[in-house]
Amino acid sequence: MRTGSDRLAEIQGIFDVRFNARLRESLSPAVIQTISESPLGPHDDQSSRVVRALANAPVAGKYVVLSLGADGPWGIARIVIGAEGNIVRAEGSYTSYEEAMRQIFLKRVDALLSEWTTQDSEEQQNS
Amino acid sequence: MRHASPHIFGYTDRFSGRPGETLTFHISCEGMQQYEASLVKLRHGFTGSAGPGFLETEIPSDFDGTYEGAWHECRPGSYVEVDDPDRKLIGTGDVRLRAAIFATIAGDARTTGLGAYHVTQNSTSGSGSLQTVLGAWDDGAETGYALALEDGVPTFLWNEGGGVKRVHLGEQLADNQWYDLEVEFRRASGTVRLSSTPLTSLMNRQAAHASGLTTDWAEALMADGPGNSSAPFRIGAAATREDGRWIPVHVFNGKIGNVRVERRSESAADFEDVAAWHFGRSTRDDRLLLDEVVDESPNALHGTCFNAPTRAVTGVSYTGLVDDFRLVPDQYDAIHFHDDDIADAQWPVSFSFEIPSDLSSGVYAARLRSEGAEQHIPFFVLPGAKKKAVAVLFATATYLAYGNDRIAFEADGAEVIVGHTPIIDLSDLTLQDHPEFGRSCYELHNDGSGVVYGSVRRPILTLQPKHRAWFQSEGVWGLPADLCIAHWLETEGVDFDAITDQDLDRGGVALLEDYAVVISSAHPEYVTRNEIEAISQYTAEGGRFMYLGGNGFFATISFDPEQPHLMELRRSDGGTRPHQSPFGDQRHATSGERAGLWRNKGLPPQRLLGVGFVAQGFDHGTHYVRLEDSFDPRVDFAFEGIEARDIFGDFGIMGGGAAGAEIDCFQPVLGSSSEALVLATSGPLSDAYLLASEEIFEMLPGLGGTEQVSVRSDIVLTALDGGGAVFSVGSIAYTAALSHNGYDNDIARLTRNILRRFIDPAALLGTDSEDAKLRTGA
Repeated sequence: MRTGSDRLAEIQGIFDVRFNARLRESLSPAVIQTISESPLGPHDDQSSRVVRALANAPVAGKYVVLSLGADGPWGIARIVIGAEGNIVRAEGSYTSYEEAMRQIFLKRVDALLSEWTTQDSEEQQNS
Repeated sequence: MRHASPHIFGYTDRFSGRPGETLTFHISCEGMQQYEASLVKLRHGFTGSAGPGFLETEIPSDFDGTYEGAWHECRPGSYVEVDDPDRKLIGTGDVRLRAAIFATIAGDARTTGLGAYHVTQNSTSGSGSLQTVLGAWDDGAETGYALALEDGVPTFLWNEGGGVKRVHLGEQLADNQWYDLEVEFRRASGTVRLSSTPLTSLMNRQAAHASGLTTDWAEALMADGPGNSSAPFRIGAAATREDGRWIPVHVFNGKIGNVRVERRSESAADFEDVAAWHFGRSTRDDRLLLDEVVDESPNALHGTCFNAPTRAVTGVSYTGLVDDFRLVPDQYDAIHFHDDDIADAQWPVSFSFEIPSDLSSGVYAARLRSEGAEQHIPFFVLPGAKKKAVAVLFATATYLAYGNDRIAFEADGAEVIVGHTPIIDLSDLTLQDHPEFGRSCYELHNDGSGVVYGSVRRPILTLQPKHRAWFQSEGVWGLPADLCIAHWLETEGVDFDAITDQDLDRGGVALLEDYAVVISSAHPEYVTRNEIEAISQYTAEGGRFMYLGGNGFFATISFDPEQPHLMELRRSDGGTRPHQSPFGDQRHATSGERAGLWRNKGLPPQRLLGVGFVAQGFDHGTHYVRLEDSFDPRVDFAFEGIEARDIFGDFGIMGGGAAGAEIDCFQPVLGSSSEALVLATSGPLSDAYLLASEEIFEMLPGLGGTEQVSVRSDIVLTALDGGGAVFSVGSIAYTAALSHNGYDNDIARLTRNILRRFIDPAALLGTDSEDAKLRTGA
């Protein structure tokens, strides 16, 4: 039997299609370069939209920066409920938290581009 | 969840004490046999090289020494326990148990996307499939009886013949719907009958008949009434014997009310009350609902709340016309229980500390060390009979509000609200492994309702002096931020007395009398009405107040008058807030005070301080720009030694600028004195700084710092009739800039100049008459 959650999920799906189309349009190489150069900003309006879109992703599996010492280094990890500390650390460490943020941004962009490539491929096969 | 690495945790029975008083320390160890305890004076917290580093000084004390390390259970879950030594509650004859319940997670876990930060996952575990409404059930021995929900289905379980027997209904109850549950066991027939009946309430008074909800019942054989158990009778939880005490298990999530136990003797026709608890009734003259639960039956089987379930919540008969539980107690016959409530870990006393008469007032800690583990248990020593010239009011209420903040692990919007990827302190990972230490008042319970209590009596890992908050790069927050003030005063050679929110709430203006200057914390967000009135009276009578923070005196809290270690913080339906208490539940049980922002209750901080909260952002801080008033010759003293004619304060531990994080501005429309001197305003702030929601009546585009003139921090000096004065900086980041360049900087100079001038009892801006002219504009 369909529940209220099912009905909201259907609406969310429709919104996500529209949202991702806008995000895809906004995520230009220039925007990627702008954010990479200054992950903490401030950003222009178009870059800000992209930053917000990525920052608003579901918290499950999301990347965070880890403060590993008094003056660094900084690491990155994903939030995974049930793991020790509810995180799973990625390899490597960085000399600034901005560098860690940059790496997180690039990982998110890579994941998005990969997802879109897969979607395109599936759509082509279906058409 | 315990892991192999060693840890020490602990708490004090209260945050502060005077010389001659005794504090108790409650310690639990993981992975170690013993630990060393020492008294230390906390001097500076932030460990990075941008400041003086972590500084503490050992002070010989009576509790210094080696202690055996023992692990103790910290088990969350709120409930009411009834002392029933004569076992009157069951006894002989036919017995009927009744309760109205409003289950909040009878079915699925909480819904997603809740609260201001869009919470979508839960980092703490809940009660599991069984939630106890009432009973005397020993879960370890599986003896006694309990009325419960099992996977959301009303169930009565009891021990018979050495085994567990159950009778249950056919369907799961609906979430957020009142039902009457009734269990009746008849000894003559040897039967037990369980039923549930949907009840109409304010939410569905006209539409219940159309909702599809139906009465359900079931019957089973019961040989000789419910079995005996040594477990206590509880409402909202069962019990199991662990760590030498009855700890709560199978805790209920949701509201319970109208709880009755009735009996009919063999010769009687009708049932009579054995117990009739009224959760809206108080025995206090002020009718507050604290931890006592009143039984209105002749047996007077009164109960006690444990782990602070939420009282003063609407019951099934709530009409929606009056929102004060003291006026309509019958409509508030309900308590909201949560399986993650924790108000007292109830660990045994590991050692105690009688504060010596010669110990100077200040910030101290019991430092606990073992190989591979260290923990500080901070506390504040209040002054003895003799006061110093300067006092610092430590924002212990705000420390509790943010205590054990877990938002970054649960909310989709955590990253958006701070404007960058969260930066997690390693101690936050330890906290994640210990959900039993409870949540902050910024979070949602497992059932999706907002957390409204904070307690001293549980480990608070965010209170560690070296802790950094996830929402600011190099985020000193709470106590670590206020240790920046303590160390600045130390470098100035100014001794100070430490006082806390709890002390000022209880002591009132008398606590402030004789101080030349009182200095605030960097973030005194939550205060009581008594505190506002005390500071208002203090400054009106000539006292001088330095508000060295932001977002101050912003929202309402109260302390339980009988248990001051417990703070209440409900949320109203307006202004900046992480969640919102339901309609009818927005009044504090511990004070009767309406929840919410002081600006919405006739006491805007702008009136008290000259500035009030206007925006927050956590990407970058900024500098200040001197304004025309700063060149008024009468405030030359404030800028003595400051060569900058334009910009100053472009540095600091938090975000690289003295103006940032949470900021306040000068607003005459909300009570800032129009005669106050506005000495400086902040430099440019990004659109990560958004205008606070209480400033917005209808949504308009362009609410960020690049488009809104109100998004700014102002430094304001207000001179009052009678010699009093208030100096306000309106920025949480301000005090984190004091230590820049070894305290040789313009922020430190300005603050020092104000402090020195405030200590001097002479009229502030000239003669008394000149001051008066300035204020009147004559």
